[in-house]
Amino acid sequence: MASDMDNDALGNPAEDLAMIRQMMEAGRNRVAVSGVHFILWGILLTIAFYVQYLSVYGYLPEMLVEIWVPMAAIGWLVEYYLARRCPPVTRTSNPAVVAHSASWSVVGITTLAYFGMSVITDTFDPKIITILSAGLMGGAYWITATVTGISWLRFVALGWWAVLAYATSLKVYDGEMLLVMAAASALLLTLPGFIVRRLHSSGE
Amino acid sequence: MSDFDYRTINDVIHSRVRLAIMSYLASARAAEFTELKKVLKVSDGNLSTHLKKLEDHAYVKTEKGFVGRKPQTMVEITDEGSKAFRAYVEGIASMLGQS
Repeated sequence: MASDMDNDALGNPAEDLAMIRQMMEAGRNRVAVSGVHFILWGILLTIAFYVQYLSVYGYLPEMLVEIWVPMAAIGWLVEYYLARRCPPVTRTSNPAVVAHSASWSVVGITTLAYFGMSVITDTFDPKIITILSAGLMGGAYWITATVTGISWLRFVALGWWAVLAYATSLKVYDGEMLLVMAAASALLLTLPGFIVRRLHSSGE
Repeated sequence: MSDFDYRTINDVIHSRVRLAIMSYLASARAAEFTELKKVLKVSDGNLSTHLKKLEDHAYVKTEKGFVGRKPQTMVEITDEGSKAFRAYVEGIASMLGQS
């Protein structure tokens, strides 16, 4: 197969330096995104939102903490398991990996912190957590798209910001929004996760 | 006229593929074998040969593992490799009269 590297002879020093810069730039932007985390959280959120919807409309007993605490616990436990299962070198970081990881950590920690604090202080507002999480997820997707070069993820970011705009515009925030969030989790988290995973597995 | 001495060129790095591998790893720190293959646009055999040479000189280290049931080979640059790469780049820059 013909390729850019078939001729192993180096060119002139100026060309070599240009190639070094190009490869170092590619290396800096490297982020290995396998899609597993999107699939994990997408499935958990879809189930949790749907169960809460059934609970709000009386098909299941009334519950809030009983749904979200086990969901978060399962998610973080699986994340812990995945991190331990990775070979140590895959945890090596560069600025792009740090930006990508930090953006998603901000989503998880901020949402969890708001949920915990608001439940403890009895000030939980589903509209606020929807706006908060949708806005942050849009931002995290945008950062991931930028550092990985997977440009179509920007459309997923726009999707989350559309959810943010829709939730903000609602005068009456009722249980139907839980169905919207369940659908958003499936379409804007689980589905991109499967697509990224498929592309990652095929080395694209 | 620069004061660069061509005899100081590091033969281990002085190949297009190995220089590309070292440049990529210098900033990425570590990468999967398949990822390197894709970035460099080389065959499995070609990449393995060049990685072997770098590994023999302790410029990179490889680690085999599994993601799920799928085997994965990670390649990581070593401290020695980083130093050698920096020296190589400084040599080229010196040849061009850049600092």
